[in-house]
Amino acid sequence: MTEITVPFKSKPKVAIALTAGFSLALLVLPQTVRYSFASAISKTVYAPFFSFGKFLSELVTVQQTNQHLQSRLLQLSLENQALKETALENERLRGLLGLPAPAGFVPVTVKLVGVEPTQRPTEITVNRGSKDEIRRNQPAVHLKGLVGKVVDATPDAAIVQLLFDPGCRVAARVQRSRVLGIVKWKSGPYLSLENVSPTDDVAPGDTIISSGLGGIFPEGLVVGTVRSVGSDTTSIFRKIELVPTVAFSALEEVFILVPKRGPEWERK
Amino acid sequence: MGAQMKAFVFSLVGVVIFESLLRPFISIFGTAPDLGLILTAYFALTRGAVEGLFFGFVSGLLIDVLHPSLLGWGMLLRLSLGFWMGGFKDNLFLESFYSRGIVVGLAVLIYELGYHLADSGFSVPGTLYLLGRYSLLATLYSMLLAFLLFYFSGKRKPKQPEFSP
Repeated sequence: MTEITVPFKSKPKVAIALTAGFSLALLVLPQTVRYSFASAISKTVYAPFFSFGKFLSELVTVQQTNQHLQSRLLQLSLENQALKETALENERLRGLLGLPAPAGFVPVTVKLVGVEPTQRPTEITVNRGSKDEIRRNQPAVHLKGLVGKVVDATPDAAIVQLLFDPGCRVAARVQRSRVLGIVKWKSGPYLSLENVSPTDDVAPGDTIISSGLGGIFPEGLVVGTVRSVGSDTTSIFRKIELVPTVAFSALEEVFILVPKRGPEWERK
Repeated sequence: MGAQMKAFVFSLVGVVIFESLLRPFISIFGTAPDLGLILTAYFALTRGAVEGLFFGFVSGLLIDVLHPSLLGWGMLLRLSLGFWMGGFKDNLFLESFYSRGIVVGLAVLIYELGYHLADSGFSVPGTLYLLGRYSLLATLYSMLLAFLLFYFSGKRKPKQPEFSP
């Protein structure tokens, strides 16, 4: 093993004298000289490391600022999203305010709080119930048309059966020709108008409204638009498909039509 | 440049990096270990007094330029301690890394005493305050680091020379 080749290895006294002498010489130098000597060495030896340290420190600062800004961006983005939702809700509610209620009914606004997670739900849960006079068999409507009817009500919630429920039937008529029929769901993505004879005047594009004959839904509520009319004239009834006017997968607020009970109720 | 001279130079670079970059990150209550003295002790206890003296001299110069008000004084203390610690190389049972760590602790304490004495204008109360405030923790911290250094350097056994009859 090679030894460190320090000078004066065999003459320690000389080494001590030289190093200690140099140190003492530095110590007794005038302050200005001492400082400029220290500054010269410091700039030569330490400057690259100090620069690197500063660079790392700035990098850490930038990273921290970046994290802070990202967090702030997320927060603002969520706030922005919430504000947009509020604006849309405001718009919808403004639209609902203009809905004319059928005679003899008071519309009670309810908000959807539960829905089946399917593409075509058959029932929804709303946030008001028997405390607000909501009862079984009361019609549920939307600005765009008929939604369904209440099938159950607890004090604080109610379940609304939608038109796509196989058990839901609506006595309806064609708005243009006044032809009567029954709207129900059989299969597929559309509703169907049943009990219409092949000779009756029904055409694609006709609006179907409730006839008021079933005793549940008042007359004149829009149910849907005729999409197709079967051309088979040999069968007893025609096959008529309807596109509902309400988008059931995008419901938020609906009205329950509660029968009027006098001026006090109307105020409520 | 021989392997041991490389170790000498790399240790000096280590001191510079420690003083310029690492010191703030490993400080505890404003006190960091004295790496310069730990490495001076390493060279003194493993190579000899003159090596300890030179390492103390150069590392002292590198550290003193950062505090130029006492430029030369720290160097003088470090080279003296390096030479003093080198005396233990052949006169102390040094197989145990504990004894080396204790030598480092003593050296740091003496250095701190000497430095603060000069720094406070040779005022005894001022020196005692600085010793209590900074030096005891620095001594313990340096001893701990020295224990680790000597423990791990002791683990690296040197190659045994091949037997030749």
